[in-house]
Amino acid sequence: MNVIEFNKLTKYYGDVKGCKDVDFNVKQGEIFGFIGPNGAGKSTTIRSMLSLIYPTSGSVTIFGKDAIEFGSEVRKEIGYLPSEVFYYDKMKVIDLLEYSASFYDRDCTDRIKELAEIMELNLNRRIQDLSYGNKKKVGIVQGLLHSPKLLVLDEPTSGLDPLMQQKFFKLIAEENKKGATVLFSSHILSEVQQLCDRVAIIKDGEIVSVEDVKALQHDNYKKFTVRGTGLNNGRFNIDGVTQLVERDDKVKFFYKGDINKIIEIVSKLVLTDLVVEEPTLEEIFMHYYE
Amino acid sequence: MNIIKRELKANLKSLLFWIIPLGAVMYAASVEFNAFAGDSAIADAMKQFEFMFKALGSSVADMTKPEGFISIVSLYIYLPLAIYSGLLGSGIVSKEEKDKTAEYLFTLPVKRYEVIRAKLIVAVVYSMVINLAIVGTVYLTYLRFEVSDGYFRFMSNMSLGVFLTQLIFLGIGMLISSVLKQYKKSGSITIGLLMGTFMLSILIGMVDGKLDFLKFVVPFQYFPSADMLAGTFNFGYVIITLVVTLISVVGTFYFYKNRDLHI
Repeated sequence: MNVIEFNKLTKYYGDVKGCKDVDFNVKQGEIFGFIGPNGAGKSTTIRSMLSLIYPTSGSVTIFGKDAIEFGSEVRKEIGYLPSEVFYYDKMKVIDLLEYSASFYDRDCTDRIKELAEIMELNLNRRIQDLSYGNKKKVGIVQGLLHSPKLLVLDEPTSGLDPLMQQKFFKLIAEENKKGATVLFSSHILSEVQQLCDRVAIIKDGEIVSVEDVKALQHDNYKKFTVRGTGLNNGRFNIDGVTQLVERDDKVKFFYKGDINKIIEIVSKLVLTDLVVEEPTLEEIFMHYYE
Repeated sequence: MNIIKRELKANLKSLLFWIIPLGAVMYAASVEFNAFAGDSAIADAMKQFEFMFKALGSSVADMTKPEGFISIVSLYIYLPLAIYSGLLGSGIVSKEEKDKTAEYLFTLPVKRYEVIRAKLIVAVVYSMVINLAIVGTVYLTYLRFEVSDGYFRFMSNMSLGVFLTQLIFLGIGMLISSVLKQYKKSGSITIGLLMGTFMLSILIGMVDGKLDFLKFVVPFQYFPSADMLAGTFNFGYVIITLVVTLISVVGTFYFYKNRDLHI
């Protein structure tokens, strides 16, 4: 079952493209990564699905309901953590969290305390006195306090120290285990790699590809580094090779295809070293952004 | 209900910051009046400045009597209360975007019209509170002088006249915040509009009848204190007030619901 269905979602700000023909589904129970550089249209897509802004065309369905028409109903089961958090400065943390909780039909008191303890958040301070990282913690508690069925995280880790990041990832993983679906937007690939099952890649407002994270790493590209002498003769320039860098003593390239073809070329050479690696996600994604 | 409670709390301080000094000024004016009370020589002298008071939108009344004096200083009730309501209306709507809390509030399970409805209720309630507080202060502080039988009636008329003026600017303030892209400037635009019409109001008063056809665009001319003293409300202006306010409010709901939030 799909929790989120984007259906050719397009958003223009006047003449400026925010996102165009965004079309992918997030299945129930998965942690879905949403990857792209700054300004690629991640936040535009997310804000459209939360009806903060309205799509120019296309639609988003969440829990089988139109996300705009049934916005407030759908949002009952969504926990949202924006990339930058802003709250009412004059309020105390606990008052803000209780105010947030008052919009949901369930009692969240215990969960607030529990989450605050995990995130080491002081509930009695005023929002305006908090550092950026602490505000982010308030955001995490606020996004999770009603035990939502769908978590929407827009670059959630900015401002968190590595320790808190790990705690946060653990929390997300726990929520996911309890059945929550997660849409995780980020430009940091390693965290997507750590958490996500599948990933959509967005570039200039358009989805370039939707991939299985593990498959992406294992089945696709291999990174070759060949060392020896007299290598600079275009021997490796075959189908499936990309980003070929040839020097006389060293050749680097990515390869996707029948591995035996490379072995065949290599077997005819006298080498000093051969390294075959899984490329990092970063290296894989660079293909999409060239 | 929770939004109403929060807005009441969030706007309480500013309400008190308006009521306390304004109330003090009103009280100070009553002390000033102490010197005029019942002095006929001053009444004669003031007649010389008739044109000036007319221009300022105040009435030419016997300022040796409380009603007359109050109607002359009524400018200091109409103007600040209209400014308060205009700023409150534009601020209460644009604040969520200005403070960037819109992204928080509107991702909660709440409809946009519910938020606007709560804000409208709070803005109207606080406009009423400041009205009753200030007009009430004036009413009470002049009770220590000799007041006529019509005093209470005059004050309650004026309270209503001021409130209707407040409503117009409240509605316009909210509408400006929900329509304009420059939501950050909505407050200053509202005040600009308000001061503009006020200047126009002075001009209309100064040229003695020649610009009367412009009165309908100047809310300050709808319910002048002279009318309040006489106990008459211009029916046409009451209608205009209600229509303008209604259009502004309906427009606010419509535009705010259908536009992108500025985040």
